[in-house]
Amino acid sequence: MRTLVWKELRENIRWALLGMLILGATEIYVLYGPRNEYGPSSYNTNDGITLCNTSFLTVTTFGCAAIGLLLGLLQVLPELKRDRWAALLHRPVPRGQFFWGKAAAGTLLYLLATGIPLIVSICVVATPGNFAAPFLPAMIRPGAMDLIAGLAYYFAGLLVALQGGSILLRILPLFATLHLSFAILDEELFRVALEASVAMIAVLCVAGWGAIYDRESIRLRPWISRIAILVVVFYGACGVGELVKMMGGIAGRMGSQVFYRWDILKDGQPALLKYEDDVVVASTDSHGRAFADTKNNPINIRRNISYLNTTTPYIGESHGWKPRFYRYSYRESSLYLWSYGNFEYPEPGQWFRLRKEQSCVGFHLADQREYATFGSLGFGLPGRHMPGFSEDIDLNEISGCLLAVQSRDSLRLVDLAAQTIIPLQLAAPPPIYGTSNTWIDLGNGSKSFLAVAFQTGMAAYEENGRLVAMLPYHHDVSRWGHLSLGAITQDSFILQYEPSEWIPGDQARKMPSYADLMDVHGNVLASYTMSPAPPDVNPPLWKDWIGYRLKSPALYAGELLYRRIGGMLGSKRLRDASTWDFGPHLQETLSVAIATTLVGLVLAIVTFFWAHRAHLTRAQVWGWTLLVFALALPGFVVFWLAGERPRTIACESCARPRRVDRRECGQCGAGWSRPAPTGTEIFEHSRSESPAASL
Amino acid sequence: MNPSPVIEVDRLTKFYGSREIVRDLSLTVPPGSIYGFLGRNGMGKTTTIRILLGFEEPTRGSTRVFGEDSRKLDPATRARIGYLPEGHHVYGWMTVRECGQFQASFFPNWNQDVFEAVITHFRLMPKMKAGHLSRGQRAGLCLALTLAPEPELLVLDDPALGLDPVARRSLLQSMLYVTRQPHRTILFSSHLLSDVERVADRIIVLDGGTVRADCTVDTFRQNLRHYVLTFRDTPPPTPALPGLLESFRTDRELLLTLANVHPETETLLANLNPESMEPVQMTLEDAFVSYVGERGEKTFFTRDRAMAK
Repeated sequence: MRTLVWKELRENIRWALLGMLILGATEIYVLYGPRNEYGPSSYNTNDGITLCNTSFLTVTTFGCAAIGLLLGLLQVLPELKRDRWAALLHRPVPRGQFFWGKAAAGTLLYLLATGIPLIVSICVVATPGNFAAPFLPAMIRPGAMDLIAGLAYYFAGLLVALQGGSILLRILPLFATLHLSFAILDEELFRVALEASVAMIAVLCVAGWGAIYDRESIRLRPWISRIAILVVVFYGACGVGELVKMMGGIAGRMGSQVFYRWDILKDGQPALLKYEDDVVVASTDSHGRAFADTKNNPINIRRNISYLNTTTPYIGESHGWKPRFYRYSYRESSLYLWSYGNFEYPEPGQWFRLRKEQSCVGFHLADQREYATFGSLGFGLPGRHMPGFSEDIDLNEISGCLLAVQSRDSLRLVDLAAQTIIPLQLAAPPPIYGTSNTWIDLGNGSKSFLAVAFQTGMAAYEENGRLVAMLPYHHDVSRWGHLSLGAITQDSFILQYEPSEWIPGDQARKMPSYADLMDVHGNVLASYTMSPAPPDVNPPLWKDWIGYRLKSPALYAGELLYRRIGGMLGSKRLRDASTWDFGPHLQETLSVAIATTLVGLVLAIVTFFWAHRAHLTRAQVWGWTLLVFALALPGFVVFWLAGERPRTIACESCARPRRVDRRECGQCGAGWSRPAPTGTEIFEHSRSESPAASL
Repeated sequence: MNPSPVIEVDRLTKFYGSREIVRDLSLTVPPGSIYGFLGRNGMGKTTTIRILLGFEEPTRGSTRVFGEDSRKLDPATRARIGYLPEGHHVYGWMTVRECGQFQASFFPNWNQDVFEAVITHFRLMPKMKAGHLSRGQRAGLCLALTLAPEPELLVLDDPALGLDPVARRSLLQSMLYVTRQPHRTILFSSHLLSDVERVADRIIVLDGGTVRADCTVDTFRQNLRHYVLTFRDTPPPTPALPGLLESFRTDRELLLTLANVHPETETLLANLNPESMEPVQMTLEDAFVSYVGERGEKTFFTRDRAMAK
């Protein structure tokens, strides 16, 4: 075994080193990115920070996959020439050892080629002075995940090279890993992505191990490997489906997407906007009248909605205090830290909130070094991280370098430039439900306000922390807790009430919403009742519509059952999903169930006749038929590509097709005739040879 | 009591797609014998060997080596088999010594003396890179790697393929001395009878995927005859003769190659009323070429063509 590993390492190290150099150079290049005056221009949280940057992760995703795949192929293909392969395998060791030898060496080489660049990238990011952003060990996860997923590509490469048979069957492992890539890119939790990758690696590994026993015939492989190759083919078919679905996205929707939203116009008047495929096509006022004034007509405003000065984010939830966090994926830097806008005073810098530590750290953009920190005890020196906030906090960027730090019971205004933290006097007793910012365009600039939602009203603070207005609620915020505050002028605000998020969607859609125009003293200047918006028309995408109907009926039934049972056992998420399946979505559920069953049935009938005509045994015919019925299209692909196809020729006795691998004809029971003598045969039996064994 | 055969092939059939490569092939190789496995290219020699060693699955029939099913050869059984595939593959980046060390790590009965003796015979230095060796030297290295494990059964798949005549002679000569041992069984494939005639006790000739001959070299030679029939005029068309392998008609002559000639065959030939009929001594190579060559009549008329003009 050691000799085999040594041979593989010696033979393929050059490819690993080449891959390492290319990947390493590319990773470092994209890590630094197109540099501006102070460093990477991509400190926008949406693009991801340093090791979570989308460009960096694109390189790790494709780079690791490509290196893994190429290493797997290069380890086997050059040696696959039939005599060379036979020369390798004709050694007195179990056949599987050749695979494990290759796999062990290949894994080491793969880790060398992809691990070293990742380690170097981590070291570069972790070294102070290289990037104006903190390094958190957890940010290694996405790159590490790509590295692990690339190992699946390595084993897929081995399997692609080892697997004999049709080209489609051979390349399916690639699609199985593609399916894995789609899954781990979509997955939120690192643990789940890791489990999926490890499972796929194990399956590909076992399938590859079996393929070395017999490249052509799946039947002759160890049983566990036969199961593994079927799983690979199944997921490969799913991967093809994913790809087709992705490309099918260009087919668009089965009709126009229409939805209605109440929005506030510049003068504080509500307007019901009708959107068709994201374009405003009609608008009415709160009385249902179309706007006569073309100047104010939102159709003319079109996409300039942000000009309306409404605060669109959620700011309060009266049903129960709970800080709301969008669920970030492990691939997003926002899961680990959050960046706040650049500021210029006293020097250009950028601040980051460390989510786990609940503290903040600021960096100079000029020298890329830590500048200051702040936490529950105030600002601290660089390198000395202040203790984090002990409670759940929410930070809200009011403007440039001003942050509002909100907890359940307190509100602080942080001036990042001046490094001061001012506790704000609460306009009402706690708890605080949420904060947001709003602004008004003054022509020669803008003015920002901090909106703070309390139990009894909404307060508006100026940037310097001065309380400008306390606007009492005039509607039941326990039911209309989705609040928005908009500044209409410097002295008037509009408070919008929409149904709380905890109210089920079908109920919420029937509830009106309200908007009160108020002055700074809380006096209502105008009040609007906005009737429930007409239901959205949301036709499905063609790719989804077809994709759902080509699902496996068994897996679809399992999915419905899983949600039902999970809901019954107490999972709210599964109960909600099940309620949706069998409630408002029942028609679609039934439609999908019937379609998947029909598709499964049709494919099962095709499989039955195909298997029958292919002269498979009765057990095989029924086995494949049932499998295809249960798995529908993926099952059919498995049968098509991995099912046995015995060769037949016309029987000399009955003229009907007979399998060439059977001694007797399945129809008439005739054996095979011996080659006809030509009269030129020369036979002389040796003394030790039994006459019966020779012709 | 006969010792157990080393190789048993029972009604072996192999299809590649719709092409039948080997058809209903049966043979038995007793221990200690040297078998020449002959046939033209593409007649199924390599396929049979690959099936014997478990690298391919038979479509039908079975093969056994040392009594073990070829599809499930135990590592211990495999250690008793030396296999030299055609192409003389070596790892080019290894030195001759490393090739030996690599191979030795797998075989429990590795005999370094044999390895060194063979590489010395081929004038190979241990530090030479395998990738820099000539074809003949590479064949020698492969032979050393195959012989050093001291196998009981040697399967040599066209070992002289692709070598120039000198290297070919050198390899075959050395094989003659180093491979023959009292209890060693050898299956040696080639498409040239001259390669095996000095080495093999018996030959097996494959043609069209089936065994056409299984005999000693002498029996093979004795069973093939060549006749030259001279006529006064254009020879008559070749009659249907039992055992006819090849006929060649010229302006005056009819040249016939026959297998298993009986007295009745000669009577039939006499009935053609040739001016003269004489059996001609064939070389073994000619006999073999006729035996595995194209069947049927070939003609070469210069007079007819001149008359037509």
